[in-house]
Amino acid sequence: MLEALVGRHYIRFCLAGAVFFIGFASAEFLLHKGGLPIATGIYSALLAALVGLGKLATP
Amino acid sequence: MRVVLYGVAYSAAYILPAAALWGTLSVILEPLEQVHLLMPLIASIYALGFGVIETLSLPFRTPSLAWQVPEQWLQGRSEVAQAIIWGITLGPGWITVNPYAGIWLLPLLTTLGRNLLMAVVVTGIAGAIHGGARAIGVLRNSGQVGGSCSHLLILGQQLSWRRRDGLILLLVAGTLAAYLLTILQGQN
Repeated sequence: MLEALVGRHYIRFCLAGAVFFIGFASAEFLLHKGGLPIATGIYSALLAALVGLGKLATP
Repeated sequence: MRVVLYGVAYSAAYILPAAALWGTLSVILEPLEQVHLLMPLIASIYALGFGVIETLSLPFRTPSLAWQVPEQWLQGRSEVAQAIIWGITLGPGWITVNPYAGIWLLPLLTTLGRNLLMAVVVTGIAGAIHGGARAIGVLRNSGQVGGSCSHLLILGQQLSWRRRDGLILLLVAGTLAAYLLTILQGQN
């Protein structure tokens, strides 16, 4: 099942792994530069903007 | 000029309640900050799980409330009153239908390593960004609805936004995994 899943989405699977690794590697910079509050602040702003913009239902 | 002013006022109706409610949420969740290992662990598992689900477009529903603004709330009200009702209900992004898992990571991120004042400010800003972005999305899409393929267009766009949301979740999951390792190394 995993093979079928990865086989179908292998580019996205590799992309997912690469992004996770970038997050892991950037922690060295983010966590030492300003600590966890800076990192979570940046991520909160990113997620909030993305979720807000992505909700496309019109009232 | 009138269109710009309308856009600013409409956005304010979303931004202000969102900032206030998100800021209040960070105060309510403040006691969870004391749980040093558990909150980042829950946040990283959530981010990793839903990051994979959304990036690979797996058929798994995002946790969401299905409530929608009742029609009676809007009928017979002025345009300003309607904008305020939409702003209060949609701006914070908690109670209406939500197709993205990223929103539920925000309360978890609130609990990680901040003092109360900073948590209120950062979470309030995140809420304001969500409210503003939501208003922009609504204003932008109000021009698209009514076209022959508008719903298909919206669904297609939603899928690609889900993938973007999944990628950011994975980015956060990577950072939180490194943070957890740092904590565990410090304990040993």
